[in-house]
Amino acid sequence: MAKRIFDLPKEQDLTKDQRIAIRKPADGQYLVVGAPGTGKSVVALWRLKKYADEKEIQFLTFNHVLNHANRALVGDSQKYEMNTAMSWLYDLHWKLVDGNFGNFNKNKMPQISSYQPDYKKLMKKFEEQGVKFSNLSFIVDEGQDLPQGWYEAVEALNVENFFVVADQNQQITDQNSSHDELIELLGLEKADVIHLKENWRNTTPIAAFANYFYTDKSSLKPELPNKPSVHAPILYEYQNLDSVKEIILSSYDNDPSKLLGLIVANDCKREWWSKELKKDDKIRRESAPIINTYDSSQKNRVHIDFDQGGIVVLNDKSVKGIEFDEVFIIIDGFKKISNDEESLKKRMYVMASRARERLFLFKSAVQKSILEEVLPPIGTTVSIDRQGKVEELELMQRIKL
Amino acid sequence: MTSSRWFIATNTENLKFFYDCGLIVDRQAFPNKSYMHDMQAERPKGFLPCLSEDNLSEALKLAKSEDENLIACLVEIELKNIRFEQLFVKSRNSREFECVDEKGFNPIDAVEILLPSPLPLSCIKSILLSDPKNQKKVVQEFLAFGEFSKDFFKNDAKLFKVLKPCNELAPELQGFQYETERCRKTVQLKDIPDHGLDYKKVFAYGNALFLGFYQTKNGRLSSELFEAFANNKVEDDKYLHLRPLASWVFDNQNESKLDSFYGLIFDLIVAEDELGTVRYDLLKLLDNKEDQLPSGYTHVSAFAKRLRERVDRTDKVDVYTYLFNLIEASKKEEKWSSKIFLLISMIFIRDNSETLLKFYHEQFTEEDYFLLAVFFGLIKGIRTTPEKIKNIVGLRDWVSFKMAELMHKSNSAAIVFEKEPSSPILIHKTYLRKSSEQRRMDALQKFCSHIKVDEAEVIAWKLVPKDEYKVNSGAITFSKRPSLYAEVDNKRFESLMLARIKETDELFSFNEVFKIFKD
Repeated sequence: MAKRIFDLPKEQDLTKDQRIAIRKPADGQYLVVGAPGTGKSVVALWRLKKYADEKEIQFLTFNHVLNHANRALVGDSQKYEMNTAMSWLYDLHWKLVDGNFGNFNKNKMPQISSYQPDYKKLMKKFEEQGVKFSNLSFIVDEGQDLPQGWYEAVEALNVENFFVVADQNQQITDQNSSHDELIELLGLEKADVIHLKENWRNTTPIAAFANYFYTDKSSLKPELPNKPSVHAPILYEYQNLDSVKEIILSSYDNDPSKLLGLIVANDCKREWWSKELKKDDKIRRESAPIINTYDSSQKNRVHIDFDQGGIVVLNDKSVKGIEFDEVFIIIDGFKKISNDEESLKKRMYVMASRARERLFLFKSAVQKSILEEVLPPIGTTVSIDRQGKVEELELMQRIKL
Repeated sequence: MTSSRWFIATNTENLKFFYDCGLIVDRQAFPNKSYMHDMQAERPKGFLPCLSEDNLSEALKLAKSEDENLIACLVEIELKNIRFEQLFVKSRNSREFECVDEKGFNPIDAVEILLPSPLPLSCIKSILLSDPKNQKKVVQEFLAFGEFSKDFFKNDAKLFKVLKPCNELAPELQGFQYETERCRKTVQLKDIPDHGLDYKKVFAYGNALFLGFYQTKNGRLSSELFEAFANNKVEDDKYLHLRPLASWVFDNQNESKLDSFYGLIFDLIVAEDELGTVRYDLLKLLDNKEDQLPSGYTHVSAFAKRLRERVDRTDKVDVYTYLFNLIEASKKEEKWSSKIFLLISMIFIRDNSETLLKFYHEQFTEEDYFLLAVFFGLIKGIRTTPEKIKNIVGLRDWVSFKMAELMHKSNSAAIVFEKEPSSPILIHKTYLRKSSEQRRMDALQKFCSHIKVDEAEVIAWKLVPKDEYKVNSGAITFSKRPSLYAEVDNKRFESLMLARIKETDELFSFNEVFKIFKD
């Protein structure tokens, strides 16, 4: 294990659009929209850093892993108030009703179902209590994953300052808010909505590969970054799982400062791989990597250390918003949801765009994967401009192990 | 009131870029549309408009013209350490610029000077903001760029108010005499040609100086190599491997095939912060499809193939074994030609300056570590220098000065900067040596404890007897008080410093060492 190079990018390295968003005044309501990799979270974290000394800011995300990664990225996490949106709302409600074990049933959060607040009742409660949080400013990361009711309930607290970053192409919950809904909810003018157009996280080959799976018809594909790289995504066809394991473990051994993300189709595979990677008989130069995993039932017990190199095994539902230096996707075992090819593409888009530097896919030589159907055919290329010359890059290399 | 103070009016985002790249630069230095419009965009490329204090209004407006949420700032420039042959100067009540020599420059009359870009950071006297709130914000944001003196960031609302130019003489300039026989030539702004500048080489040089300096922690050889590289004194044969790197930076006249090979590489990929891009270009070059490689280097396809295997992760050996094999194979080659393959290989093994500096290999020599740092430094460019290295006390201003000097020398510009900031302290040459001074001996002990080295391994305590001494039953008796001194085993120190690379996950802290030896 070695220290990972994981810092918030320098402000002067950001795109003009990102910097415009960061510069917006501390007070007011703003919506920043953009596809994965356009640097929405980076913008949100820079806002937090910029205004935390002069404003009381609550930084909220939808999922715990992203909250954990954001804390590591912003550094000095004690200084900032960061939480998941639901935990914060439940905690706030509990405090306001002076909750304790004795009055739990009487004062518990009004819910429609488990962890789904009844926002109408909650708003009424807030209004009755006459609570005012007008000093508090909110920065919400992955704001599309919160339902309209959540925003309305928070507005009932007389909150006036919202800075929301969102991408409706990445909604992962049924209870979510589209861009138009967010614009209406926050009462935004055109100038208050900032569109991030350029893929900023990935290299050109990875961004081009991710774009291949882009399905949102309401907005344009993100512009490709000018970061040509020799590292085109690679699809390995494997005969046995030992060769997959060897590639992942030797990748770590060659540079232990990297955080590698292994994405698999389901929880069963996730658990199997997180155990399997720990069984390594081979003598290596570096000490064995820390192998972590997470599933949503762990809630805020996230053990992934984003500041250190290592390997994290996740299924595709837990990867949203976070990024790894290198991503390995085992494409076997994925299933179509209600026979919908578009949803498969959406999932591939999100998984592929997690990779900052390298992207590797694995497919079994004997088993057929449904994801193969949506992969780019052999010979698909992307054009890049290199020093005035247009060159064709292979969108995905194929190597037999 | 006329001025004795001179300012570059810009916004804090451009200012951050100046500190990030270590120079005050014109817009040609900014990558990827990151330059924010200010006064210099209204002037020919390659110049920095420097304004008198009664001529700031328009420039301050322009500094925020792209976005009203930008923070305008004034960079106060110390002109007295700048010598020049000719400058474009605009005088009060004049619409045109004049080309004047240094003797003909009249600071009483001038309202704008076009200074040739770049300027070293040591030319900055202070940074001025419009109000205490912005001042506080900027002080906070600039913590990332190291330490600044307490009054470096100031606020001065008056300077930010719209003022009408007036002709009253500043008290400090009253009685000021200037040369009347002036060499003057009037020229309209539109007729001043752009001065095209390519900053890649100076940014590469700057980063190479930073990373090269970092390696001076390893020993006396690294310190020597560093001084030779910084001052382009690499003629001696002991600098054989360093010479081609310096030759490219300083345009030394060498015609060897090795120099051409290095030149090709640097011209292609220098100061590129995306290592994936560098690797892409390097592999294309090594494929030699465009027949670019110099003779003697055209058959590198086997080497390129091994690098591709590293990229594809289909190689059968780990990086350490790969390097071991490479070093063993290179022993059979001619001495002068061996290092370049090691340097190129490391580009495919580490992608970040910090992890490169922490990389350890049993077979690397002290010279290898230094060459790798300089080579990587040249390729990655100054904007990727780890902050901990940029913030080494005194290093930033010195590197900035060296970069500005190189740029103006390479462009034969008629501008010279005086008062070179003092060069950084080389710890093996300055501190780790024999000493009988009490404080220095204490510091040597503290240093050993700081780097977790048993002092008995590296320091021998010796007595210098004065006059006579007697040995009596095993006890030594001196006739006068003997003096104690510390003898430093530099070789042992050096081998421990190299071994330490493997043992630590943090970059070496020069500032803590400076503190130990200054206390």
